[in-house]
Amino acid sequence: MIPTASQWGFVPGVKRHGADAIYLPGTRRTSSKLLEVSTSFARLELSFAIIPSILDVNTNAARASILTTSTLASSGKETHSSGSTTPFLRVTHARKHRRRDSITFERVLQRSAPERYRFISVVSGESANLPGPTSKHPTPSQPSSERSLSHESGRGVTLKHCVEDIHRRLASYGRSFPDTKEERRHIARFDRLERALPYRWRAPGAISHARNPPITPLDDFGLNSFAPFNRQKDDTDQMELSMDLMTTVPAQTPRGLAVTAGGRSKSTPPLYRKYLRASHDYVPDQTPSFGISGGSSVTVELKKGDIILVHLTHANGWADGTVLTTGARAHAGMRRTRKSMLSDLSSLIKFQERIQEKVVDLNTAESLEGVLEGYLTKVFKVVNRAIIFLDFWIQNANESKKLRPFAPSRSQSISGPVLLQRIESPQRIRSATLNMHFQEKMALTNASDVECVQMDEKMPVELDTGNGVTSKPSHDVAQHERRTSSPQRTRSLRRKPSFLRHVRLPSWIPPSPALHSAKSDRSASDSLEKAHDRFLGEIGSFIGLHLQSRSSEDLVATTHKSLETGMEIVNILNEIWRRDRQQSDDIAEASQLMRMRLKDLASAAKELCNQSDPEDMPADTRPEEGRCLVAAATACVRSAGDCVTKAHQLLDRTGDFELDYEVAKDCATCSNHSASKTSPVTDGHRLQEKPSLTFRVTPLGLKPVSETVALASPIKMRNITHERPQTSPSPLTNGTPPRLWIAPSPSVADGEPAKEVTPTFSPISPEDTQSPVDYPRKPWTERERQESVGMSITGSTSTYPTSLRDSMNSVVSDSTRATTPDHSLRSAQLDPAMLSSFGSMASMRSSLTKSSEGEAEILEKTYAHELLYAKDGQIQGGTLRALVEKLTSSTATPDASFINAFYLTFRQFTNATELAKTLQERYAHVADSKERGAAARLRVCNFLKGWLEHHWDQRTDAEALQIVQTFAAEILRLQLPTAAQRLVDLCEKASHQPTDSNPAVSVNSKTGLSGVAKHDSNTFIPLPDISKGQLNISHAASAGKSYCSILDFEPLELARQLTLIDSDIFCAIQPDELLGLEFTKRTDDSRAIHVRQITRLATDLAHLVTDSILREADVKKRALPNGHYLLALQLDDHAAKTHVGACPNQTPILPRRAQSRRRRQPQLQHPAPTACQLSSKHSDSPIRGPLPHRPDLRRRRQQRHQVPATTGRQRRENQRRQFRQAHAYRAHHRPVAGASDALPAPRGAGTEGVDLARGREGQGYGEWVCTGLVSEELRVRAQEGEGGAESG
Amino acid sequence: MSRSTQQREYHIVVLGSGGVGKSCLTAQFVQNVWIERYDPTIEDSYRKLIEVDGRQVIMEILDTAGTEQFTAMRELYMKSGQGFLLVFSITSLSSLHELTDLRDQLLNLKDSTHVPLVLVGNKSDLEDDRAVSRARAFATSQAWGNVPYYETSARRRQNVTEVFVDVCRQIMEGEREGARVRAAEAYDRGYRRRRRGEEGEEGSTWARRRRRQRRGGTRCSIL
Repeated sequence: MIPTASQWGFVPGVKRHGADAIYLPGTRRTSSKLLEVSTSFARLELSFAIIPSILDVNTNAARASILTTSTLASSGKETHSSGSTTPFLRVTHARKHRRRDSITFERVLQRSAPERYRFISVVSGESANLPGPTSKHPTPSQPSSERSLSHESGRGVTLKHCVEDIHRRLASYGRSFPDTKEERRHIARFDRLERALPYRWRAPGAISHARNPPITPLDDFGLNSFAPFNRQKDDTDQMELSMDLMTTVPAQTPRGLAVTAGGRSKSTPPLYRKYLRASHDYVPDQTPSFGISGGSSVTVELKKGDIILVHLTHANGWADGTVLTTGARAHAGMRRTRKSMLSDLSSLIKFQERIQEKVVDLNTAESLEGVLEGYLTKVFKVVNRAIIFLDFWIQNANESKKLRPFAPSRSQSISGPVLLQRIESPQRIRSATLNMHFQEKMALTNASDVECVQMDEKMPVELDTGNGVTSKPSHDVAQHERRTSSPQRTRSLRRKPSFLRHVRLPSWIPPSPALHSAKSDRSASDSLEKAHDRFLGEIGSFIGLHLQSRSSEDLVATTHKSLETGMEIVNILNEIWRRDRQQSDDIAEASQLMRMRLKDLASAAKELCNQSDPEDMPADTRPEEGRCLVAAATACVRSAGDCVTKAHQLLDRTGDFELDYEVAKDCATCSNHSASKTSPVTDGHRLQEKPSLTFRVTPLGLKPVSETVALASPIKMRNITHERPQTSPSPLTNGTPPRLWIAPSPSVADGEPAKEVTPTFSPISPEDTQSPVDYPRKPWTERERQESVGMSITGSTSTYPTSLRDSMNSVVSDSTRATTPDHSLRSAQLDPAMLSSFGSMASMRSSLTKSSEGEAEILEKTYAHELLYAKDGQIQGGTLRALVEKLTSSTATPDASFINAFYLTFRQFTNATELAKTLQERYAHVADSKERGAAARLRVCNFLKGWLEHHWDQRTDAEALQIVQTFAAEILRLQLPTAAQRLVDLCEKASHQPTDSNPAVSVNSKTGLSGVAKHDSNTFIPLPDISKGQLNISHAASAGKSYCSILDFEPLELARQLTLIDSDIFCAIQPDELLGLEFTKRTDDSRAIHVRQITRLATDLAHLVTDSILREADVKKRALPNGHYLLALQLDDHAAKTHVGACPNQTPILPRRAQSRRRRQPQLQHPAPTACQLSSKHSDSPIRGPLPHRPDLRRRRQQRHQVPATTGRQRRENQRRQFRQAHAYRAHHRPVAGASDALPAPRGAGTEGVDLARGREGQGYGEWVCTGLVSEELRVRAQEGEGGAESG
Repeated sequence: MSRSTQQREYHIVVLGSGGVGKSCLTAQFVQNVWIERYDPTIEDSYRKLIEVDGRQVIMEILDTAGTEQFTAMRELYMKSGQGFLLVFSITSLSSLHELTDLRDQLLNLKDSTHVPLVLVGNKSDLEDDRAVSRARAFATSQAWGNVPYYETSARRRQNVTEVFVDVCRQIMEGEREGARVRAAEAYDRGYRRRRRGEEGEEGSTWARRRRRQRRGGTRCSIL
C-alpha cells in the first residue's frame, strides 16, 4: 500500500502539511536529477514571481543537518498559513550512508489559499526511517493512474500524474540544460570565471548548447537526449579539454545510440572534438539505477586507456561520449559541478557586496529585501549544485568501493559524514572516479572552494549584522580550523617522501598505473595548480572578507595571505622559467605582471589600512576603497590565471618536471598558513623570494604580520590565528581550543570528531536549537578532508595519486561546512518583511539585473515595468516591447479585450514594421527557454495569425509583410512548422488583397464581445411601401428632369430609406476611422471616409428639410412637409431624427421675428439652439415614454390638415413640443448610455454638421478616442446600438 | 448598469484533440457562424454574455489547440480555467480516448474530483460516420462520475448553447457550494474564537468588546 503523508517518517520537528504525499523510487542518480529538476521546477516557480523559499536538506541518520536557503523561517513558522502566498520547496534529505538511495524529496508548492497546496514528494523506498513500505513502493511502470494518494481531504495527486510530471521535467532538463535565465546567467558567470581562471575546463559547450534549438525530448532522463554539441571556441586543444571522466553509461541501452566515432565526427566538425582517456578500468555497475524511467543504467566496461570521444558535455556533470575502440556511445560524468558551485558562490560575494551597501542606509529596506531575495536564490542554487555534486560523489564512492573492496577507510567514510560534508568532499569523488590523465589541468584545490563556502557562511552573518546581531567571525573560525589542522597535514607530507620523487610524466602520455600512483604533487604543474588554487582561495577570502565588516587587522592578515600565495605562484613560475629559459619568456613576462598586480593589491590594502585607524570604524563604510581593493584582487586573479595558463602551455610542450622538494614543501607550508616546524628554508629560490615578500608587506605598515612573514614562523602565525577570534565580538570562537578534529588514523569513528567539534560551533547560531531540525555538524574525517583537496570542478585533470589518498595525508582542508543553512534560515525568521517581499519578482529581477553587465544580456528581459495600468487593472499604456510582452505573455491566458484593443490601435503609436520586429525579438528572446518559452512562442505565432487574419490592413501594414513572411518561413518553421505554413499562406493572401477585408471568419467580432440578443422579435420592421408612381417620380427627379417633393412619398417609406442609407454608411465605418481623430483631418487621404459620408448625409438631409419647407411660399403649406418629417421620425433612426429635428431651428426657417428678438438679446451667443442643446436641455424633462403611436400621429396630422390656421407662435410651440417628445424618447431609448454619451450627437444641420468634431462635443469624442486603447467592447456596443443607426 | 455589476465572469476552456470541432463549436456558440474550413487553432479567446438561470454571466471561452503541436500550454489553460468542455468527435474513437488522459491531467491539476466539466460528442450530424456509440460515450461519462454528456452538432447548432450553459451552471453550483463551506468554516472559526475568548481573561474582554460592537452595530441598523 502506498503510505500517505501522515505515514512519512520525517525528522521530528519538521512539520508536514496536510497535503498529499507521493513517493517514488529514487535512486542515487535519479535523486539528483530529481533535485535538479526540482530546481528547475522551482525556477519555474520563480519565474512566476515566486521564490523557492525553503530548501532544507536534512539527514535523519546523522541527526540531521539542514541546508537551507530560506525565507519561510526555520522553526515555528514552518507551518504555513494558508493565506501566505509564499511557496517553498523543501527537500528533506533523509539518508544514511549506506542507504544512499533514499532521498526524500518533497516539494510543496503553495498556492493562493483557494487553490490549496500542491505537493509532490519523492522518496526512495529504501529509506529506513520511512514507516511506509520499503520495497513495495509503486514504480512508474505500473499503471498507476488510479492510485490517487488521497488524503483525508480527498484531494489526491495521482501517482501517474506525478510520475509524468517528473518525467516531463526530467526530459526537459536533459534536453536543454540552460533552460532558464537563471541557468544562463549562471553560465555567463561561469564563463567569466573561466576567463579569469583559465586552464580549467572551459565550457563553451554549455553555452552553445543554450543557444541550440531544443530538440524533441526523449523519454528518458535526458541521458540520450542531448542536443548536438557544437564547440564554438576553437581555442581548446586536447590538453585544455581534459577532464575527469567519472563514469560511463550505457551502450547497452537499446536505443541505437551506439555510434562509431567516425560516424559522429562526420556530423560535427572533428576539429573541436574532445577526447578523454579513461585512466583506469571501470567495471560496469550492473544494478539498474533508473527506477523512474524504468531503464537501466548498465554501464559499459571501460578499459584503461580507452579514448572517449565526447559529444556533449552536459552541464550537470555528465558527458555523452563514444568509446572509440568499441564504438559504444557512453555517458560520462564530467566534473563540472564543483566549478559551477564555485562560481555560484563567487556570485554570492557580489550579493554580499550589495547587501553591504544597502545595510549602510537602512532606509532602503525594500531594495535590501530585493538583494536578500537575490541572495537567497543564489544560495539555493549553490545548495542544489552541492546536492548534485553529492550525488556524483555517492555514485563514484560506490564504484570505487566496488573496485577496491579492501579499502576499509573508504567504506567507513562513506557511512560517516552528513550530507553537506559530503558535498564538500569532492576530492573523494575524484579519487573514486576514473581519472582522466591530462594532469596539467589541475583545478582549484579545495582551498578556493572552502573560501567560497566560507563566504557563503558569511552571507547570513552579514544579514544578521543588518538585523543588529553581531556575528562576524564564522569566517575566522573556518580559517582558524584550517590552520590548526595543518600540522597534521605537514606531518603526513613528511611521512612519505619515499615515493614522491620519481614522477616525471609527460602530459600526453596516459598514465600507467605505476606512474599514476607515483605521480605526486611535487610536479611543477601540480604544485602550480595547487598554488594557484590556494591563491584563488585566498583572494576569494580576501574579497569576501573585505566585503564583510572587518577590522584592519583582518584585512592585513588576508592581504598577507593572498600575497603569500600569489608569491608562491610566482616562485613556481620562476622555477619553471629557470628550467627552460629559452622558451619561457612569456612566462617570465606573466610572472612579472603578476608581481605588479600583487604589488597593486598590496598598495591598495595598505592605503586602506593607513586610512583607517584600528579603533576607527571598520572599513566597510568606505565602499569606494573597497571596490578598488576588489579590483586589484581581481586583477591579481586574472594575471595569476594568465600565468598558470602560460606555464601549463610551456609544460605541455616541454614536459613536466618535478619541483625541488623544498620548494614544493615550501608551497605546501605556505598553503597551510601554518608551517609547523618549518623545514629550514634552504632553497635559494625561496630565500630570494623572501625579501621581496617582506618588501611587499612591510610598507603596508602591518607590523605584526609582516614580521611573521619575514620570520616565516609558524608559531607567530598561530598566535595571530588565535588572537583573531578573540578580537571579534562574537562569543563564537572565544576560548575554543585551536585543535579540531585531527583524526589520528583513518579508522576514526565518525561520531568522535563530531563530538569534538559540535560544541565549538554551537555558539554560532543559538537559534539552531529552536529550529525544528537539529543538524549536528560532523567535521570531516581526515579522509574526507584529504579527498576534498584539489577537486577540480571542471573536470580538470589533476590526478591525485591514489596512494596519497590512501595514506592519511591531509592536505589543506579547512572547510567547516560553512554552508550551514541555518543562518539564512534564521535571518529569514528575523526578517518577516523579507517573506512578504518574496512575491515580488520584479524587485528580484531588478536586483539581479544589477549584478553585472555580462549577465545583463542573458538576464530575462522583462518590460513589465514599462506598462501603465489603470485603476481597474487594465493596461493603459506602455512601451511597445512591454505591450508585446504582455500580448504574448507566457504565463497568463490571453486577455481577449486587450489583444483586440491592441490590434485596433497599434497603428496609432507604432507601425507595422516595428511591431513585426518587436514580435520577432520577443520570439527570439523566449526561443531558448523551454518551458515558458513554448507558450510565448505560440502566442507570438497566434498574434501574427490573428493580425493577418482579421486585422491586416494592407495599406499600412504592407511593409511588415515581408518581415512577417521571412520570420514565418525561416524562424518559425523550425519550431512550429504547421503554424508557420499557415502564416505564410496568410501572408500570401494578405499581399493580394488591397484592403483589409479578409478573414476566414467574421472580421470584427471574432474575439469580441458578442452582444446580447440583437433582435427583438417585437421590433417593427417596415416593409417597402412605394408605389410605381412614386418610383417614377423619384427616377425622374434623380435624372434631374423634375422636382419631387417629399410629400410625394409616404413618410414611413421616407424614414425607411433614410435609415437604410444611414445604416449602410454606418456599418461601413472601419474602426480605424475613429481612432486618433482621423475624421477631423482635413486632408483628402483621410481614412475616415465613412464618417465623412455620414456627416455629409446629415448636411444634405438638413438642406433637404430646409429646402422642402421653404420651397412653399405659403406658411400653411410649409406645415405640410413638417408634419411629414415628423412622421418620418417614428422609426427610431436616431441620426435622421436629429438632422430633421434640427432643421426648423435653422436660420432660414426660424421666423424672422424670433431672429430679430434674439438679435436684441446680447447674452445669447448662439444663433439658434441646436438639436443637441435641445436634447441636453430636455433629456431630463419629465416627459418620458414612447412617442404617440402611429394612429395618434396620424390623428394629429389630420388635425393639422384640418386646422391649418395656427398662429406662428402656436406652430412653433407645437414644433417644440414635438421635438421635445422626440428627444425625450430618444433619451429614453438610448441604447448604451456610455456609448451614446461618448459619441457626440451631430450638432445639427447646415455647416455645423461638418465641423462636428471641433466643438465641445468633438473634444469629448477626442478624449474617448485618445485613451489609447479603445476598448473593443465599446466599439461593438456602439455598433450594435439600437437600430445600428447612431452615427459616429 | 446595476445588472452588469452583478455579472460574473467564468473562464471556460474547450479541450479535446485536434479536429474534433472545438473551434466550430465555440464559434457557433459565440458568433452563430459555422466555420467551414479547418484551420488549426493555436488559441482563441471569446467573450459572451449569456443568461444562466436568471443571472447574467460573461463567459470567457478559451478555444485551445487540439493539435499535438500546440498543446504546450494545456496545463496553463487547465490552471486558469474554471469550467471545461471536453470535446471529442463521435466519428473518432481515439479522440474520446485522449480525453481520458486529459481529464486525468485536469483532475490532478485541479486537485479535486469536482471540476465542472461536460463531455461533448461533437459532429452528431455525421451519424453515418459514427465511430463512438452513444452508449459508449455515455458509459465514459458515467465512469467519470456522472459527468453530463451531450451530443452536439456545431454545424446544425444542436445542443451548442446547452453545453456551455451546463458547464456554466456547474461552475455556479460549485461556487454556491464553496460559499456554503466557507460560511460554515467562518462560523466554526468564530465559534472557536468565542470559546477561546471565554477562556482567557484578556481574550474574553476583547471578545466581549467585539461582540458588543457587533451587536451594537446591528441594533443601530435596525433602529
